[in-house]
This record gives sequence, structure tokens and C-alpha cells, in this order.
Amino acid sequence: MAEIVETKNLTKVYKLGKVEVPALRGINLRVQQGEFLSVMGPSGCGKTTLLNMIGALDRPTDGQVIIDGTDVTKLSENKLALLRCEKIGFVFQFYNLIPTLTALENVELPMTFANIPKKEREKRAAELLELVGLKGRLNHKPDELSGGEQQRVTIARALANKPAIILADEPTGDLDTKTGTEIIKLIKELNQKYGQTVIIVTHAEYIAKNSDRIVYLKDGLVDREVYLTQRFKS
Amino acid sequence: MVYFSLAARNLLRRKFWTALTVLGIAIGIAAIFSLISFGESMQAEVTKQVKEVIIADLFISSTTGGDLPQTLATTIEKLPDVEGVSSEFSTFVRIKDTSFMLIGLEPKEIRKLRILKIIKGRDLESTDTFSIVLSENVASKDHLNTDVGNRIKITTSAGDKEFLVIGLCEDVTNFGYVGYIPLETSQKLFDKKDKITRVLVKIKNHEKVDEATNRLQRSLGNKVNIEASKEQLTSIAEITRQLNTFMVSIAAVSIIVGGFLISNTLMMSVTQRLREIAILKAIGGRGLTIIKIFLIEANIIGILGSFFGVLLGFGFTLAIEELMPRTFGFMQVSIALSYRALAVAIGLGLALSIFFGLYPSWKASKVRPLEVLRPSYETPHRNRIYRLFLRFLEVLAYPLKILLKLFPTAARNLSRRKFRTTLTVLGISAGIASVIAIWSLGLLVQSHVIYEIKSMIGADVIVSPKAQAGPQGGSGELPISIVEGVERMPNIEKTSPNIWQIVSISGFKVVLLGIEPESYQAVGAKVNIIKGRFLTSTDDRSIILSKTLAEKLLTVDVGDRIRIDTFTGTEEFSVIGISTEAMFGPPGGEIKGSVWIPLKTAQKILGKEEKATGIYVKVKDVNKIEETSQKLKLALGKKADIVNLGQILDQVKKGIQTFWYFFISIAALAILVAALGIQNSVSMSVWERTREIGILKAIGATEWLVMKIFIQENLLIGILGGITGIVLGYVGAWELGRGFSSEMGEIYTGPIITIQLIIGGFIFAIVLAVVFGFYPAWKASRLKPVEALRYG
Repeated sequence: MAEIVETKNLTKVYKLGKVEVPALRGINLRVQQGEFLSVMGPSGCGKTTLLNMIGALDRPTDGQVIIDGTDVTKLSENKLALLRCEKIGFVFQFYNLIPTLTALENVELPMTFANIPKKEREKRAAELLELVGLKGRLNHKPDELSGGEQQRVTIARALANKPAIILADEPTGDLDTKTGTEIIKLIKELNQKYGQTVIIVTHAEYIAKNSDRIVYLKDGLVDREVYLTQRFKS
Repeated sequence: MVYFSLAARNLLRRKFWTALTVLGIAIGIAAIFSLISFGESMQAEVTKQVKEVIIADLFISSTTGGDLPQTLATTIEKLPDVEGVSSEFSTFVRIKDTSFMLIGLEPKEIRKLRILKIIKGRDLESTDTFSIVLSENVASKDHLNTDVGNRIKITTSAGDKEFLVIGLCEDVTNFGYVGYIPLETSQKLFDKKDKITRVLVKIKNHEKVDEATNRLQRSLGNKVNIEASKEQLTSIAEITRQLNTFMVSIAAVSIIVGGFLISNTLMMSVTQRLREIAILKAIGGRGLTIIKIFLIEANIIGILGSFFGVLLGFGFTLAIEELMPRTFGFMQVSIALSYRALAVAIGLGLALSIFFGLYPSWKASKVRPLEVLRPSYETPHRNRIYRLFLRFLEVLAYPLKILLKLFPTAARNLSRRKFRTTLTVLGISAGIASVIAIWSLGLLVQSHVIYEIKSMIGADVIVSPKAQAGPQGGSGELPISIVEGVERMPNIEKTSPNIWQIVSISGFKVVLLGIEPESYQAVGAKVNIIKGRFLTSTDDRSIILSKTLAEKLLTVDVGDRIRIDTFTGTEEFSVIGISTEAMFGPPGGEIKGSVWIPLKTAQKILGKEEKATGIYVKVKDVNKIEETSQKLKLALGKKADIVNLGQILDQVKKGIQTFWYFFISIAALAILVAALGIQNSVSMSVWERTREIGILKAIGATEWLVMKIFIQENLLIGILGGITGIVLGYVGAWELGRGFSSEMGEIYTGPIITIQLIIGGFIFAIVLAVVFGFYPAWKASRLKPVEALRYG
């Protein structure tokens, strides 16, 4: 199986005034294409930092992040933006939709960045929204949608450019358990149906149990790994 | 067009700010638009007026100002470049109290290059002899009070001749008072058979006037002076142009302040939307994309600003059109929509919005997604150049630090937002600076003119003949015997009779003053000699010339000889002195300078033996000047006007003030825009610090305390703006003053800046900052802690 994400000795140190706070202290992780991975651990263990590094939102202090064969730590800001646009789809805890744009326009946005023609863009955005169960709510603005619905828009947006990887940071953290379960079902469905790699950072066991593997972090290091399925066990 | 709708919706989300910014831009654009279109219409009107009556491209006259043989016209007509010629013989004449230019013209059928716009009666025809066409102003009630069908008498050295008024023609602003008679009649009348004073020339290739002029000059030699007809359009058009250039540059200041406003508003937009920008970047938006979105926003503001600016400007222009003729005595100008002004206004709006939008957009593009999406403890990354720039600012601002120490909290808050604070301070200082500079120039001009008048006239009271014809011609006269009578009256210390008349020296119109050297100085009048000497009572054919006339136009020096043309002939004088410039009419106008000769000589050459056109009077007790004026009026009432110096100065001051108030009101627009900038900036900082305010209130701060924090910041902005404004204003005043002085040919000693002006400017800056920052400060104080804390 091809490796889509690999981190080598990934280290990140934050400077808090003059004090150095290590967030990641050398993480070695391999993620297979199509794998559903959950990252768990106590607050401050470096989960989100890891996700941000993989999503090319931040640069490591040391070590490497290799996505689909490219070492992203060496790319320029522009190239990083391009990478995020083409290979990565983000799902945030607080949805992070553009408030002035409709659901449809929000989903269109990444495709606009990728210079996809308008007609195609609109068609695909509508399809994606239908896929996540928002048919008929295309022209609603974020504040006219419920939390669960907004998260569905975010997922549709994350899928817009058919990314290889979907990164989700506490995607259900702001939702009630029922809605959360629906959302995680949707993500799992996408993972199984389209083979998209999913990496989720979460606190909730009921989310994590859907994945192929759970990685537990502790103090910036991988504490232990648990395989829930045998699909990607090497 | 997702980017466009994104930009548009964001602007709509902040309607108040967008409106304020658009207003700021619109004011600046309006000022520029109306000034340009007003200036253009003015110039076009003058050009049109003159073009309609003179078709010629060139005027050829004698270099010495004397006559030319009529055969010259025939010679010129045969030259290859020439399409047609017309000959004229002109001279000044006087009927009763009215002097006017009497132009001998070829009759209508032959005349090619001058059109008379007849409004009553008819034009000159070849059968006419003693017929005259008068310009409407000459025939008016105030002057000859005559009409078509009446006869008027013209006095010449050969005796009186009667002319039948056959027509009245339209006045042309630039020409003054004129009468037209057949060329042959005028030559006979002044005994100048086959002589002409001017040849009007139309050349074949209109585009190549300059080359043709050079060729003509070569083939005719340097006995003739060739002047392009457009040069004759000077006076009003030229002054208007200068005026306009100046006013446009003031308006440009307000435009720049408007630009800062765009920058400020966009910065605010960036700060408010940090999160949004971060999302855009996280999902793959590139820096350039973000820049695009913000520039579109800036452009929408620019376009709207231009649009409303043009509307506003058009209204403003119509208002100027209404006010101008009455206020300034300019001619009536019908203002047409100028396409150039339109293009400039819109282009400027766009360019401005792009230029001033660049920095905020760039800032937005540099937003790092992580810093916003999740709080991070990393210190913000700044590049080296920026750090160096900050270091440079710090060194520069060192003296300010002492000031800043006075308001420690406010200073810290302001320096947290260096860029915005700088913009706001600059906005205020630009406004203050332009007012100070203009005001100072006004003072300089006023003092210059007053000094000029005082030193020229000096006398306390001036006795002049009734009903003057104005500076275009000469004036009436008084018998010199009056002088003795005046001198015997109580409270009169000294009198000095004089004569003034417009004459021509080498084709340049100048004011000739005949004076009695001793009494002239005794009454307090002065001629400021910069080279050579003043007149004495033994001088006869001696002359003093004003600087520009001598040095630039005639290129003569003390000891040289010059010739003056009068009605009766040409007189030769030797130059004994050169004086400073004397203001008779506007710079660039028709009158090119002044000359002084002894009174006796003037009386002789002008044919005004035992006459004077004015008597300067010095009184013993200045406090009784009104009383003395009254007594003089009683004694001379029917023959003469009595004016005292105070009245003249008052009038002049009033005239200058009207002018400067107009300029300053334009500068005030810049201040208005600056005020919007303050409002904008303070509101933004309130917004940014909502959370901070919430915390302050939560831990027990009163409303007044919160307000005090912001008022202190505004105060500091005002102080900084005031100081920089004064410095910039001083520099501006210096430059404007230097320009004015070099125009006047004087040594420049620096601008006139009164202590009141400095203090006034300073206080105004502070008041501006505090007043316009008050509303946002009040808003801040009213924030509810719970809501404020929930923010961000």
C-alpha cells in the first residue's frame, strides 16, 4: 500500500516569551492511502499541532512531513497554498465558513482557487452538498444553518477538489452526540466509498472507534497505537 | 465572480464605514473635478471670445513701438507661409473722461482677420469715412453714453473731428475699451498716411505656427516684433490657469487624505476578517487571491467615490458658476461638463483605491492561517526590512518619546498600531498644513500689496478727477491751479500733483507716471530704487523703469536710452534708475511695468500742460483725516473725487480676503476628510479592543475611565498631527511664498507665519481629534462587559 503521509522525527517548539515549550518531540508516523486514522490524547499533548503540520498550515522546527512523496517543509508559501488546495481538505471544529457566502459559494471557493470553470464548479458544489444531505439548502448563508448543517457544508467544501487527505480537528466537538454520530458516519462513508484518507483529532471514543487505527499521543510523542481493523496493519 | 460578490458583500456588511470612506473620496474627487472643469471652461471661454473676433495667428508690430510702412503688409502677404493679412492703425484717444483704443481697420469687405460682433447697427464698410463702431462698454451710460445714430467728437492735434456712431459691438473681456474706424480715416486723422501700427497675419499651416514665426522673423529682420495671437490671451486665462494649478494641488492633498481613509478602512476590514482570511488560506487560497479580493473591495470604494465625487463636483461647479461673477468680477462663464475632468476624476479614484489598497491587501495576504484559527504562542514573524524600518522610525521619533511619556497608556496603545496611527496623524497634519500654508501666503500677498500701495502712494489723501475710465485708458484731468487752493486749506501739510497715463514702450504697455521729485517724496510716496538714482528737479528727459520691464523685456540698463510712443510722436529718454516691481494690475497681465519721469516733461509730451491726473496730499494730523477729506470734498466736490489711503487699503484687503477665503474653504475639505479619518481610526481601535474593554469593565472600570483612555489617545493624535501639520505647513508656506516673491522679482525673506496661526493650527488639530474621536470613545464606554468578553 502506498504511503500518503509520512512524518520523520517531527519536532515543533513554541516560544512563549523566552520560555521554549515543546509541542512535538520527534514523531514518526506513516499513514496509508485510504486509511482512517484517529489521533487521541490529553489536552496539550500535541494532537492539533500534529494535524496542522500535516495540513501544511505550520512549519515544523525540525524533521520532515512528506505528503504524497513531497517534502512539504521545503515548499514556499505559495506552493503550500497550492498543496492545501489540491491535496488536503480541512474540517474544523468551529466549521469556519465564510459568513457572507452561501453554502454553495462556500463549497465553490476551493474550486475557484483551483481555477475550475464556473459551470463545473457550481455543478460539483451542488452535487457535493447533495451528497452530504443538504439538497435544498444550497443558497442558505451559514447563519441560517444549524451547527450540524454547517459542519456538513464544511465537509462538502473539504471534498471540493477531490483531495487525497481529509484532516478533521474535533469535527464533532461543538455538536451534540446525535448530530456528531451522523457527521462521523458521513465521514466514514466517504472514506469507504471514495477511498479518501482521513485523519481525525478527537477526544471522543465513540468517534475514534470508527477508525482503522488510533494513535495516542502523550507529551509530544507517540505513546501507543491501536489497530481496530486489519486493513492497514503492516 | 465569487471574489467580487465576496468583496461587495463585505462592504455591505460595514455600510457605515463604506459610506464614510466613499464620502471621503468623493469630497476629494469633487474638489479636483470642479476645479479642473471650472478652469477649463474659464480658459475655453477666454480663448473662444478672442478667437471669435481675431482669426489671425500672429501679430506683427514695430520693435520700437513706432509705426510701420503700409507696404510691409503687402510684403508679408507675398511670403510663402502666409495665407492672409490685415493692417491696423491704432492709438489711444480720449473723449471727455473716457480713454479708449481707437483702431483703424480695413472695411468689412477687405478685412480678413478681425470680426466685429455687431450687436446694434452695422459694421464698417468701404464707403464709410467718419463712421465709428464702438464696443458696448465705451458707449455705455458710465462712459460716452451714446448710441447708434449719435455723433461723437474726437480731438486730435489737427483739431476736432465728428464721427457718426454706426454700430455697437460686443465687449471682449481681454480687449478693454475700443472704437473702430476705417483705416484710411485714422491714418488721415493722425497724419500718418501709409503708416500702420500692426499687421495681423494668418498662416497656411496652422499646426506649424512656431516654425512659420521663425521663418517670418528671418525674412523681416528684427525691426518687427512677431507675437503669436495666443500669447495675447494671457491676462485672465493665464491667471486663472495659475490659480487653478495651485488649487488643484490643494485638492490633491485632500485626495491623499482620502486615500489614507481607504487604507484605514481596508486595514479595519482585514483586522475584522482575520479569521476569514485564515480560512481562505487554509483551504488553499494563495496570497495573490487574497490580494485580489481586497483590491476589488478597494476598487468598489474607489468607483463609488469617483461617481459621487463627480456628482458632487458638478454641483459644486454650478455653485461656483453662480457665485463667481458676483464675487470676483470675472466674466460670466458657462460651465460645460469637461471630459478631461471626468477622466481625471474617475482615473484618480481608481488609481487611488488601488494604490492605497495595496498595503492592507498585502497585509491580508500575509495572514498566517494558524495564528488565527488556533491561538498560538509563537511571536509573529517579521522580516528584516520591516524591523529596520521600525528601528529607523524609533530613532526619528526619539524626541517624541518625551511627549509620549506624558500619556504612557495612550502612547503604548497607539504604538501598538503604528501604521494606522501614522495615517491618522498624517491626515490631520495634511489638512492643518494646507490651511497654514495658504493662510500664510494670503498674509504675504496682503502685506506685499499694502506695502506696494503705501510706498507707491504714500500720501494720506488722493485727489483725482471724477469718473475715471479705469486702468485700460488714461483718466480725466484736473487743472494744476487746484493744487494751490488745496495747499491753503487747514490741516494740509504738503501736496504733490502728478500725471499718469498708459503708454507704449517697444510695444509693451506700461504705466507712465509724471511726478515732481521733491514734493512726491515729501507727501510720503516712494519709488524704491535698486539701481541708479531717483529723479531730481533738474531732470528733463530722464526716466526710471521698473525691474522686469528694464531687465527682462527691454533689456536696458542705467545709462541706456529708450523711446516712448505717445499720441503725438516718439520721445527719447535716458534711463537713470531701476526700481522694484510696482503692482499695477495682476502679474502676467497686460500692463508690463511702470516708468517715472518728471511731471513737467510728462505734461509736455502728453499734451497736458498745466494739468494733473491726481494730487497726493499729506495731512498734518492723521487723526483728522476724515474731516479733511470732507472739507476737500466740499471745496472740490464737482470736479474731483477724494479718497484717503485707509479707504484704498480697506478695499484692497477686502478683495484679497475674499480670494483667500475661497482657497481656504478648499483646504477645509481636506480637513473634513481628515476628520472622517480620525473617526474611522478611533472606531477601529475600539472594535479591536472590545475584549480588552470588556475585561476593564469586568474588573470594575467606570464608563468615564474607558472614555478617558480613548480621549487621551485622541488628544495625543491631535498633538502629533498639530505638530507635524505646523512643520509641513511652514515648509509649504515657505515654498508658496518663494514662488510668489520670485514672480514679483523680490528678495524672499521667508513666509509670514504669525504666532496666532501656529497656535490656532495646533489647537484646531487637537479639537478636531478630540471632537471627531468622541463618538467612538463614547461607544466604547457604553460596551457591556459580558458581551464584550464574549467577543473574539
